[in-house]
Amino acid sequence: MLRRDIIPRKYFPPGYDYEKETNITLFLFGTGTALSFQYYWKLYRAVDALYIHKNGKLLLSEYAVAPPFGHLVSSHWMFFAPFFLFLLAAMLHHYMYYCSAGNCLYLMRRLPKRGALFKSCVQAPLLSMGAGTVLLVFLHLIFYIIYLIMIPGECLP
Amino acid sequence: MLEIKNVKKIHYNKSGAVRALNEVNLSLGAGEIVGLFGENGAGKSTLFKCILGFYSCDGEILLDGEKISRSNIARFSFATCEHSFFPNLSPEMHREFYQMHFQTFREKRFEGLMKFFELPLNKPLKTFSTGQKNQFEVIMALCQGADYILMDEPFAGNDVFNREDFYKLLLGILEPEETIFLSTHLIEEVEHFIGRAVLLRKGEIVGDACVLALEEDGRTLMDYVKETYGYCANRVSTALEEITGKL
Repeated sequence: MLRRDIIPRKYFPPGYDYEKETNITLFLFGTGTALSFQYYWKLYRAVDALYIHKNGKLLLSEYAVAPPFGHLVSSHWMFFAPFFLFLLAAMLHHYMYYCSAGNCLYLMRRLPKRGALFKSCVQAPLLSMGAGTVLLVFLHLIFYIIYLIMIPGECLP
Repeated sequence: MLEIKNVKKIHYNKSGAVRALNEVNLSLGAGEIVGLFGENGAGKSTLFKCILGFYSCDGEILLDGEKISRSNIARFSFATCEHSFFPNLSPEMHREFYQMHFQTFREKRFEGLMKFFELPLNKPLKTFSTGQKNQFEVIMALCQGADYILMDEPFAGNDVFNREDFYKLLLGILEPEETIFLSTHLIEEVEHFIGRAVLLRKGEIVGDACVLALEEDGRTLMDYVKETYGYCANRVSTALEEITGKL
């Protein structure tokens, strides 16, 4: 039930198969998030490169500088691109739904509220995009905090 | 009053430009019940869609002196044989949708008509028969609370008893200010229901008559339609003679 409530039914076109769209949206965001966890591997390698092994001891290299945080997460946009592209396509699909499901476009175009048709096509994808963006920022904030914890201060770029 | 002034509409298709409406001039006063007649392709549906703004057109369409816009579009409702409801939703969900968007929604009329047609409230409309879908389409047009109710061949697929009952019921429930603009091929059926008949042919208005005046002249609506369209009475016998070779 929690999954269904992420974007409530009322934000989708009436009678639209919103569960299917929600499932795909969640899958794409989840896949993007899972792929972005390779950051930890990149961070591990970056931290490892800062140290040298000497006489069985791990010593910080002189003048060693860690790669900037942005460099470590630079490819992450690619992981979330399908999520955002899907939501853009969903807006178009919502409009197409009104044309294909009977001729309910006639009813939608007769609604007195200004922009009611446009709103019903874009509001759910925009909410998903907004929620996705907030989660992404939050995720990268956590990544950045871990970066600051893991990289010695003198090695920060 | 709904005024349609010099309305012209050209459709463009693969074979080129087709004039769907040509210099259409028409006025509909409040409370009138007007039948719109014409053969297939005469421009009846196009005229409705121009009034509602689904099609852009040349000329002017005014409602009480104002252009049709968001501010007055709710004064129109539309029942079409193409069906404009959401097939996945139930009548109950439609009621909620209409209540949300149309402040003038007629709740009592909705309940009464749903009961009269014995339509299930909670089944998705896609499971309804064509006749039931037509009935529901008309119910929503009547219950929206519009002043001008446009109906584009709404009874295609309904049986004759159903239609007959519906006309009677409609005459009983309509408020004096409600205007019906009904397009249909069922000329004889609606003759005693409408007050005025408008005839459209190849996008032009070729006839506009008061049904009462026709009756006083001793003519039926069908006579008037046949005269206006220049219907050839011996057309069938001539064709049969040619086909069978018998006199």
